[in-house]
Amino acid sequence: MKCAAKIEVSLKSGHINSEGETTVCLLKELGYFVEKVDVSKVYTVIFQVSSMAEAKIKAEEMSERLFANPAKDNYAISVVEVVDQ
Amino acid sequence: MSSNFYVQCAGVSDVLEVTLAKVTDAELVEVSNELALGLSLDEMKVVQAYFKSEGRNPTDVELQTISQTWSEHCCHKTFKGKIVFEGKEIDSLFRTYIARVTREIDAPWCFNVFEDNAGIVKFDKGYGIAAKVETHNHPSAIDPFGGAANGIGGVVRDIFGVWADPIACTGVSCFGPLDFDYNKLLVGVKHPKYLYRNVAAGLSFYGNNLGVPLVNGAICFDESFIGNVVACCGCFGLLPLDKYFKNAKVGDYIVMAGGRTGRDGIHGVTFASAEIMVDKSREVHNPAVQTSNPLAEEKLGRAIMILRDQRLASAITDLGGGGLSSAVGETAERYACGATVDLSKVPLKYLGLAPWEIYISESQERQLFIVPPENLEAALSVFEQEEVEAAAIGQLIKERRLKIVYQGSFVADVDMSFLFNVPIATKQAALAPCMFTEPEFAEPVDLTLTLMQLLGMPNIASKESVVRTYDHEVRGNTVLKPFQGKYAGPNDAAVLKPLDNSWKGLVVSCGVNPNYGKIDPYWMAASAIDEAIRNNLAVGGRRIALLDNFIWGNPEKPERLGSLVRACQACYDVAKAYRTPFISGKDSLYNESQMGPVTPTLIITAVGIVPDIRSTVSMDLKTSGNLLYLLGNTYPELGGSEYYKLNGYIGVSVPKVQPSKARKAYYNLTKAIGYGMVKSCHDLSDGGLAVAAAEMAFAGNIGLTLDLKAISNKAIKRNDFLLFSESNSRLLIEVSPKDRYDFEALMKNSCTLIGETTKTEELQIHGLNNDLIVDAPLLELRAAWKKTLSAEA
Amino acid sequence: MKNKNIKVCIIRVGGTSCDVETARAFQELGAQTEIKHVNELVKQDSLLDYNLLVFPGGSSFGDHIRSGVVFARTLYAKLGKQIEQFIAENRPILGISNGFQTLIEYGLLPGFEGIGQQQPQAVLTTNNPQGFKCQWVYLKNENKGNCLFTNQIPQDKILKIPIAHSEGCFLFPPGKEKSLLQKLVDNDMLVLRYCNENGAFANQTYPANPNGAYHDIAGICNKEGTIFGLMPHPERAMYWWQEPDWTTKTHTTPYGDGKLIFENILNNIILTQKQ
Repeated sequence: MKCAAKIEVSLKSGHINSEGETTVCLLKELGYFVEKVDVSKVYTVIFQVSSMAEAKIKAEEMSERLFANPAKDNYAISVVEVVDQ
Repeated sequence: MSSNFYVQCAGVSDVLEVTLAKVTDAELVEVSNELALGLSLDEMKVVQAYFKSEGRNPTDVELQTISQTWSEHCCHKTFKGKIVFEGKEIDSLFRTYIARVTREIDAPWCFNVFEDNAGIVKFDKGYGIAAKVETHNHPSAIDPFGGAANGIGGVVRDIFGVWADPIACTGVSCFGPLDFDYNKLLVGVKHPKYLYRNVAAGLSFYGNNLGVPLVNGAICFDESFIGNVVACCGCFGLLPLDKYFKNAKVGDYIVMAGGRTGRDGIHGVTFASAEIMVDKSREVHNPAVQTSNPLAEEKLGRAIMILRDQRLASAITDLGGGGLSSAVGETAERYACGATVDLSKVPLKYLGLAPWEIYISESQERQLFIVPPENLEAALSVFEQEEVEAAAIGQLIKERRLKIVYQGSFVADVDMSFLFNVPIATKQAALAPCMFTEPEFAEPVDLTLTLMQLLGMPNIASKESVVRTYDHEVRGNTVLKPFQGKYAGPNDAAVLKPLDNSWKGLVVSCGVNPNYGKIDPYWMAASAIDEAIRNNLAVGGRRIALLDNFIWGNPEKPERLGSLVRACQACYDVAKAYRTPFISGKDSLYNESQMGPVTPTLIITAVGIVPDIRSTVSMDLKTSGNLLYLLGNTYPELGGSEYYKLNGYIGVSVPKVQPSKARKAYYNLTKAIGYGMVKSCHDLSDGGLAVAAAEMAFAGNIGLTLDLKAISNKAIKRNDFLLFSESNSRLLIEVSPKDRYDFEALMKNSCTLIGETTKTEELQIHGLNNDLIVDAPLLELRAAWKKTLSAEA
Repeated sequence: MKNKNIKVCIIRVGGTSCDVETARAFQELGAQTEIKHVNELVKQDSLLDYNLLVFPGGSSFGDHIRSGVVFARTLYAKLGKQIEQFIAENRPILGISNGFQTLIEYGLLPGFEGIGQQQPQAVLTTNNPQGFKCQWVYLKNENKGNCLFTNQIPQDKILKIPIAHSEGCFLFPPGKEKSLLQKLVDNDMLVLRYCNENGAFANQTYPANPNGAYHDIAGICNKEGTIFGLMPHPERAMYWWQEPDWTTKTHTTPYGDGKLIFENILNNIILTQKQ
């Protein structure tokens, strides 16, 4: 079966979110007074697996080995089956 | 499509045949519009007649190929066409004014000019310097980040296109005022601040990722740029002249390498040759902007240098405007042969591209190579090692025809002589009268305050917040950087040391002053040339060559064309007098939006050499107790100046250039620098004498006192005019007292001693009646200069 | 052994850009220096022919995902075994800028738990203030003699070297900063810190600390002192004429401060060979 793992990598709390802070300032200039901007990155990985449980394990491995750096990133995973049209 | 002129081509999917033979004139125009060919009725008639003589209908691939080849962007109809101006016919602005300078100067160090992707001048130890400057205005107006990024990407590929290794980039950009009222923008026009940030981000992203330092440039602000942003990118490359291979022959393979081909950039060329339709630009023109991938270009560059060093290819050209259509056609034309191309072999980003789209796509990071059959395998393995996708897509053939195959059938088969015999129309040019008058206003009481205000004017203020986002030191050869020393003063030019075994340096500078263009395009152009040259001279540059970039409005309008003619005349007059040949250039026309035309702007890039980088001069004052000289004459020339602008005026007294006079002084200055007499030197431009003096003082943190009475011009009775006049051909020069006699003897009457450096960290200027008219701590002057744009990155 | 017998390998991949000037710095000092694409090294299986490995600056793999991570994983996958042996034999590795990011992402620095782990224990992340910066900085040598790249440079010496990066902010995982910093100090792994021209630490204030790095950290080494990574570019401070204010000075030495680092490691390679 084919699955799509959506891996969202975001900044751990406790770190300065300089990109978000810059964005808050920019929005202010455009007339939007916002409190906070969180930045995250989403990777959607499509691959073949034998079960959804396996998909989840694989996606976790990928996150730990590549997509997230545990020193600064959190990651969240959601996995769905993909059915080709 | 609404009309009935299109039939499916027999045997090939995705190709239409256009039944041109029977259609009326009105329908010809309709076809041109529907297929976005950008061809005029007269041009369509030529096409119609050709296919009548061939006895068949054209395919859409053929029509699109013709459209690209005949576009303004590819064949420069305006610069190479005929123009009637003041009752006389000019047969090609390019030949009459630009190329003529180069031809008449006939410098032995010009290795290859105007013919190839970039101009090449000789450098040292068998190496040459390739130079090219391109504009990427139209795409940057729609997508400033991608447009500017691809501006760098494209001009770097031009440098690759002459087998040169890029060693430095430049960037000149023009925007509307950053504080422009959002409510006054027309729908679809992006705010100058947005454009400013994103153009800078695009340049930074591409140049930094590619690993080519961005070393010189300028940023200008003017209301006429609100709807017409200017993004001008230059690149300089180093090449061993004995490896400049351009000897393709019949039987050689056409190899395409780099990024895959997609729908991006379709009709970029015809788009660059049309006015921007502001309100629809988002939907209509976005496909003309290409995605950019500096990583792909870096890998491509590595492969190209290996191919060059292993002598595996017989020719190279970039895939830029017009895509494969221009690159293949121009290559075949250059080597007097024909070509076959199989479009099925072109690697695609995704399925579903029609053959004509494949042929004219302007996807980035692609390059075309001509490879002799015996080298094909070796060449392809080089690409493989560098992880660059490459494919042989065709061959050069003896028959002078362009034959394009797709899925086994011919989809184009046209005569090369027809394709490259571009029908040229005659255009009308006229001069528009100047709309301004000279203002009358009282001299301000507090000239220190005025100087502070001028230092903070966006065109003068420090651009450090943006320029530091460009890596200007990668490759480790930047000898003179954009900012000088601890206090980050603005250097006049960049100096590079391209060769490890030579002290010879490359000097890169630029000149641009759009404000003068509002008053007089001739003196605007003359001033840009003079500024670029004196910036180059100020650091020790000599043997200067020029690159021109014309940024103009719609040339179909006679006044726009008239001002273009005047600017070209200035190019001839001034460059000829200075003996500085043009080696490359590019025009960007049709810079008009619903917010009006762009102010006619000539951007001049000057490339000089310094025989030994150890004699390079920076602009910061060096020690107290030195003498300060003013080179050149000061006239009441404040038209278009920053000072008039500060007071809300434009005026008419635009700065002129007297090159025959200035040339002698420049020549002696170069000698003085060579003798080591010049401790610091700075060009006088925006803001005139006072601004230049302040910059030198706060850059070196050395005090300075000046006396305006020393300036010998009885025609100026006002301190403010002496301080802020923008007369051309002037520089400030710091000389040690021990060299005073020798320096004065050398410079004869061209220099005036106007002041000396002091121990107090202050700038003090005495006026015509001996009063202290400017008195300011360097700290405050520096702060005023740095503040305006510091938070705008 | 002399410098001319030392073989230096500068590894490049797509997006590497500071390889040539880095090679020039080693060549200037007489070392045999080769620039090799990772694909060539895989083909030749020859990493152990070299005495020193350098991961140069640039934007390897377009800085995708995180700067350095793709380079690190590629090296691990293609040359992991050889790199492991290289390190086990105490042969030195230098990472400059993007190369430092790569060493961190590989887990070779700080490498508290030794090699082989694939989980980075620190990160070089988005600058604070945000954005790419190209400027000269001052660095203080904080190392007490463990680092093979700086042990002949006097402690507390101030070096002037430029930076050019957008992801150079050195951070430990939140909450563990103090304990991990203590580990760095205890094992003499702290090497270079950002300071002002008088040597006062930047205290995480811009512009002396150009990226917001924790504890003003600009460069660290591993426990053994053989692997060294730094954000600044010593190859851009090799010669006097690369300095931003050379026109205001008279020059008594033909070199800049960056040379000290290159010279230091070559001297140590010679020393180790003698033993």
